[in-house]
Amino acid sequence: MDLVTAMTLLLLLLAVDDFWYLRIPVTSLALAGLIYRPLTRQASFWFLTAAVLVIAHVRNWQLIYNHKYLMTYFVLAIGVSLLSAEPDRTLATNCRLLIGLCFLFAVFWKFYSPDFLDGSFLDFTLLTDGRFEAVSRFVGGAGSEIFAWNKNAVAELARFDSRETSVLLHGSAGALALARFLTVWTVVMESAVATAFLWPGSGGVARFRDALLGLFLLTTYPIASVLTFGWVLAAMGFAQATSHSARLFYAAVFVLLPLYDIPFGRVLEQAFHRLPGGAILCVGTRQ
Amino acid sequence: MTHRPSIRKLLESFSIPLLLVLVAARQIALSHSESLSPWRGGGFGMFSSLDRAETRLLRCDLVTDSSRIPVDPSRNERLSRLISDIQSAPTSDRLSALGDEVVREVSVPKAGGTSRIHVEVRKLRFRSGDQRLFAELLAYVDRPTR
Repeated sequence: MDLVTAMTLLLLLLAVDDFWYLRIPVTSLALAGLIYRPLTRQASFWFLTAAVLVIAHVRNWQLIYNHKYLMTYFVLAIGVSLLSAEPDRTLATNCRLLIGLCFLFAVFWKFYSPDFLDGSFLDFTLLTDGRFEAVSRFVGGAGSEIFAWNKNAVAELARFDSRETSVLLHGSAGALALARFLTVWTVVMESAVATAFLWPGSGGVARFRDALLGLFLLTTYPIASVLTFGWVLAAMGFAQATSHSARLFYAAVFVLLPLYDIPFGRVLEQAFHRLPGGAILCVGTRQ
Repeated sequence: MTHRPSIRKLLESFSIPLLLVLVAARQIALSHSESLSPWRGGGFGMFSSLDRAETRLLRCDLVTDSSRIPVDPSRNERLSRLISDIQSAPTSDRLSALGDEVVREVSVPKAGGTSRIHVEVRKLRFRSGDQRLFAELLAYVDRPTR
């Protein structure tokens, strides 16, 4: 439990939103918990932290990202667990259910959205989102000129005085094939994680919980650099893991996740002298 | 004798996951009733659709009998929160409020004729087949300026 609470406090320090009435009290609480560890064994400490998160997140509910919701549930779950007779076990149950439900709703939206299953969402993302540019270039064969064209086309559509209702983007057969593969991969992976974590007991597919979530963490975040979500999942994965090796794995992922922010694609490109002189290494955006 | 979990134990294990389900169900409902973006609202719809709040297009026009003048409300820092809210969930109330703010700030032609404020939000849709990106109308208000 002590390691879980330490990970959670670090998570709060690194990933809390920038509203002053959230950042200031949460930073103070997290620092207090890290300096004086007995505080983190008190349910009231976590309920106080959760109260600050809930107030700020309710006030901005339509602006914050989903992992901020998950982080709030996680903090609440720690508080509730510390009230129980078996804190570790209660927290593990909560985390298993929260991870399973999070992935279940993610799968629901993948099926429900008209533009996911046909591959058009990921095709568009691979052709326009800077976070995916390296993958699109190396695997999908979408050159920098395609990104430049698409950036201009989207900007043209988004101009405040634009009357356009459609623009033409440029793509590549490789990017479309990659988008289709990633579409299937994402649905299969997320469905598998949801099933494993919501499976009752520890037999059947539940035995593969850590392997599946681990595979998801290792394959998703190098491409989609949403580090905060990765941190939340790694901390919750750690809290519910039963084996020492799984815990070690989640702890390693938690510590090493920032490495995913290295712009590997651009580093490789520079290594192979593909970028024009003077190109600048850009770190991917976080959410 | 059968062992039945106490209510306290059930609450400890299931109350927070139940909260997640309730919030996610509300998000699905709001995505219907208020066009809430799948990416927002705690329903875990991120990376499922192009219809991300940040990519929703806001267009605002002052319309007179003879002209249509585009206005950029994002130039006003004070409106940034309202604009973000509109992009996440473009309700009529929010669109009207933005229209009122815009009318207050620009000089509306007074002499003769009528003038209207038109505020609309469009969402993106991409068709992989012919690589065309569409801006589809999601919500709008169109009302007289006075």
